[in-house]
Amino acid sequence: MKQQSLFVHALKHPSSREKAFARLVSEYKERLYWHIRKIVLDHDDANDVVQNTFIKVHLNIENFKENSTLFTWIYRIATNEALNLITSKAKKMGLQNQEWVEALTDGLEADSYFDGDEAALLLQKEVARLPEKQRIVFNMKYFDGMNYDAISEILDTSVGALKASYHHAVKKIKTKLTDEDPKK
Amino acid sequence: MKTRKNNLFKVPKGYFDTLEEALLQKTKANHNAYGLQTPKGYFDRLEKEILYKTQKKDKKVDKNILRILITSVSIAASFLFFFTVSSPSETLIIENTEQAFDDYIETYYIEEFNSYELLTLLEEGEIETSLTYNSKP
Repeated sequence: MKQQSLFVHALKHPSSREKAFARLVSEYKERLYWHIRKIVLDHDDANDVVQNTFIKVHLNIENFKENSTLFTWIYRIATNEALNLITSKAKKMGLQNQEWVEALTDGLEADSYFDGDEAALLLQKEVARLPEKQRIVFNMKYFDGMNYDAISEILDTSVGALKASYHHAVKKIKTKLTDEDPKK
Repeated sequence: MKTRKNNLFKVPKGYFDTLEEALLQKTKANHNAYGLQTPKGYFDRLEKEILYKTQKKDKKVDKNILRILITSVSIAASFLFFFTVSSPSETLIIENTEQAFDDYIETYYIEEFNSYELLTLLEEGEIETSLTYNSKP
C-alpha cells in the first residue's frame, strides 16, 4: 500500500507524472485490454475504450483519493467505459445491451481477430447469453482469476451477490453446453 | 503422490516448488481465453498512442490555461483602461471647461463691466460686505 501511495504520488506530481504514467500504461495495458475486449468483443471498440480509460486515468488522477487500490480504480473506469460503449452502440441500433452483445457473437466467426475453435465459439455464445452483470463476473472470475474482494470493489457489489452471480452463470453455461454436446 | 523407486527421469532441483507458480503466471497472462486476437504488434503501438494522446492533452490543457489567462488579462486591462482613462477624461474635460469659463469671466468678461454692472452680479449680503469693505480703505 505504501508502494502504491508513492506511485500515486509520482502520478500526481507534474515532474514525475510522465514517467510514472508510462510505467502504468506498460504494466496495465494488456490486462485492461483483455478485460475490456471480453466485454465489448470487437477489437476496434476495445481499442477505443482502453485508450479512453487511460486518458481518463491521466486526467482524473488528481481526484483519486486512494480509498481503493489503483488497480481496482482503473478497472472500475474501464468497466464503466466498456458498458457505456455497449449501451450507446445498442441504443443506436435500437437494441437492448444483451441483444447487441449476442449479435456481436453471431458475427465472431467472420471476425478477422478471432481464431477460436468451435468450443471457444460455443462458450463465447453462451457467455453472451448471460445477463450483463453475470457475464462480467464470469469473465473476471473464470478467465482473469480475480478474487471476489477485488471484483466486489470494481463492480461495487457485495461478495455474496457476486458469488451468487457466478454460481448462476456457471450453472447456466454448464447446462447449455452439456445440452448442446452431441455426444451426450 | 508417490514416485516410483525405479523412476529413471529426473527434474531440476526445486522444480515442483516453482512449477505451480510458473503455471499460474502463464494462465494469468493468458487473458485471451475466447480465441480473440489482436493485430500484430498492437500492444506496442497502443502504448505509444496512449502516451502521445495524453501528452497532447497536457499541452492542450497548458495552452487552454494560457489562453484563459491572456483573455482574462486582456479583459481586465480593457476595463482598467476604460475606467481610468475614459471616464476621468470626461470629468477633466468638464472641469477644464468650467475652469476656462471662470477664467474667461475673470479675465475678459468682468473687466469690461462697470461698477454698477458688477454690483448686479453680487448678492445683497455680498454688496453690503463689499460696501463696508470699500468704506474703510
